[in-house]
Amino acid sequence: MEYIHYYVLFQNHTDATAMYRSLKSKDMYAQISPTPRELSVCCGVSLLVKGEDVEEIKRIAEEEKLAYLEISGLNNTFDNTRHRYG
Amino acid sequence: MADNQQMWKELGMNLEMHDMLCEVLPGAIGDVFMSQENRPAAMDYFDMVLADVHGLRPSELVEFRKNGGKVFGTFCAYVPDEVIFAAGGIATGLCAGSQFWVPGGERYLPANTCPLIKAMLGARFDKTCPFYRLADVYIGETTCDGKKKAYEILGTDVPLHVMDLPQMKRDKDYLKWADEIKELIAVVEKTTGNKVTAENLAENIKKINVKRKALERLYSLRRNACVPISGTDTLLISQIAYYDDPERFATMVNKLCDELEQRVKDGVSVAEGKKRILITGTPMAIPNWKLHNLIETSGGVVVCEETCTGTRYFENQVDESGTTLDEMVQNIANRYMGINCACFTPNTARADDVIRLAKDSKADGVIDVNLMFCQTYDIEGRSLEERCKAEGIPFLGLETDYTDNDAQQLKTRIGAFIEMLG
Amino acid sequence: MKKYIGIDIGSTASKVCILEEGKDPVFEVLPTGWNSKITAGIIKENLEKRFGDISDAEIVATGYGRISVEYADKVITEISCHGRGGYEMKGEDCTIIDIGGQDTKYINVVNGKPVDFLMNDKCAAGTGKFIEVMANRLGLTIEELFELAKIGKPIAISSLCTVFAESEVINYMGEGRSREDLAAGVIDSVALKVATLVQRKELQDTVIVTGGFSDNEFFAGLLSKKINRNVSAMPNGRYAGAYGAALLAKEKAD
Repeated sequence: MEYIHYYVLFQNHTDATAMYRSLKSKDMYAQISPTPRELSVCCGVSLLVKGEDVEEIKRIAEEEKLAYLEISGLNNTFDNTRHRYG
Repeated sequence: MADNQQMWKELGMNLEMHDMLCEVLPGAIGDVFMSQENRPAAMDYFDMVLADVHGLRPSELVEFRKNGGKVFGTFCAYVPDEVIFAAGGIATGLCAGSQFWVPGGERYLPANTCPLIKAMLGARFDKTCPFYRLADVYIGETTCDGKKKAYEILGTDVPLHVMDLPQMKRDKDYLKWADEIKELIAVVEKTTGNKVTAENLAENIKKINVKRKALERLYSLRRNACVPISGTDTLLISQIAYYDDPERFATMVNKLCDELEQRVKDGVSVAEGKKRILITGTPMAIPNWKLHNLIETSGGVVVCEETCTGTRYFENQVDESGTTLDEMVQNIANRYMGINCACFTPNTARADDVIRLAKDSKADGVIDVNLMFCQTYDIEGRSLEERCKAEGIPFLGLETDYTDNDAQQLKTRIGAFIEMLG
Repeated sequence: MKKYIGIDIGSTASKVCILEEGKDPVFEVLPTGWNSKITAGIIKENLEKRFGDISDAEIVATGYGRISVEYADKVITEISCHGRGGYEMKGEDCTIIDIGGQDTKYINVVNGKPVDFLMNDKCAAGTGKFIEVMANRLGLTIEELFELAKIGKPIAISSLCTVFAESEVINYMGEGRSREDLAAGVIDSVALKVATLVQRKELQDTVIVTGGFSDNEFFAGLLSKKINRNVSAMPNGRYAGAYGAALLAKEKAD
């Protein structure tokens, strides 16, 4: 099943930063994002990545010993006209 | 992140309630920030701070305090960070920008108090903001009646020092503010156990000036015909300015500005064909992005904020030529007294600022947005409108709070205003 | 023949204006009901019954339910549409006061274009909703309320809030005050609230009323006194928004 968004979750932001830098250095798409509540109760930083890159990211993580908790898909949307601000 | 939960627990936060905030914030950030197209790459640092706004910086403050450091929580652009950092302390902003905290505040304050003040007390007493838990002393100031009385309530369970800000700008008021800064120095010295000296103060005047200059550079880049960064992103940076380490923040803003300069050279705009809007009015504390989001999804782009989360925070530098402690304190006082807040009378210089900034930013129109029940800014709206109209600058006055329920009504007004500019 | 259609989905009534080259504008009105999407659908059916296919018509939607008109080519706020339509109806620069079902608007038109506006939509005072609530309370239709108001001596209704004003009227009814005096009080209070709203803004010598009560000479006369300007009633004023939308549809297409 395909999801709209894929998130890499981490134990801490140091791991998140390391993964982000590695992906960026390879010109891969990654966006720093708050962890959606549906994926973790612990808030904090996650990385939004492209679905087609997920396997490659797993490979890179293994090769470069980059720590992460899991990569999860989520069918959430970003809607700039929802006007719900929390 | 598992680390955060443990830290929040140790800080004595109400985890269950805080969880409700964690539940809504990622969605709002997705809608407001991540939905934007063509954002500068160097926004990643600020995205990181925002994504973990109650984790990243608080964890640094926890470490700092473990080593004996003292944290000072502040609420206002008038509080001079220079003296706090000179004594080896850290100044940080405190939460006050979400509807989430308002009901908590209404347990202590009349409903017809401005939402910022209600949120301030709610965040404190609901124990849902780590920064309130981390501050060793709160530094208040007499910028409005609502805050003055709210500090009395806030001060019942934490050390609180209130600075008496003059409400006029006569020579004696500048001297009086310097005296108030000296009193703050005494409080800071007593709390930290460190002396503020001519040497460390000079160093920190420079440090905070560097931070202000970085923001000035960022804002000047928005004046270009080609707008290299959205108002929404810039607002976030201005909000983070209150919380972040000043040196790191300045470095990150300058890094972003390098990228924006290149964008201007390459003609990369995030606002092709959009109407340029200057916002003036009351502060917009994290996570209050409502107006920017509404404007920037209605055919406008915000090119300047004449607010406390905008130009009031960084315009004018502290004169670095002082050599004695007294001279430096007076120079600091002079810089901060240059901020034009509606708590002063008269305050015509604010209208001068708005006109100057509107012209410099080539604004097509000015939107004056005030938080409900902020009497001083509300009253000033009328004279500001007259000044803008006399200068031929279209003007729209809006009043709002932190709730989402007036979004469509605001959208109609903002949409109509932008159609009018076209 | 190319058609330009303006659709104004208001909170109470939905108005349609059809413009065709060489013909007088056609106006229609229907109640908005509880769902503006359904209303927009009914309008579409009506248009198709009349013209067959409307896919080549230029359609502009406006009003509070404007986003529900999914088949519109463009969405424009009611401020711009009322400004454009009111100006066309009056034939000169003017200040427009629109009294809608849920809001009251001030629009200043200079050189044919809106240059300033103000909206009250946080509160029902000074809107059509207030008149509707009070008419119900007095057991009258809105038309009857206006008729009675003409012969009554206004009783001051001082509450700013519609809910409290209703209690105030109930108290007066308990005291046995006459219906015509109460009716006059209700209309007077609406005029006063509208006057209070617009007095901060610049008023031109020519002021027109649009919205549901726009053809009411009595109300226009009352408002004239309160704001010290010559306020004209507009026979088709309730269609100003739809008319403006149709005109803007034509201008965008040209």
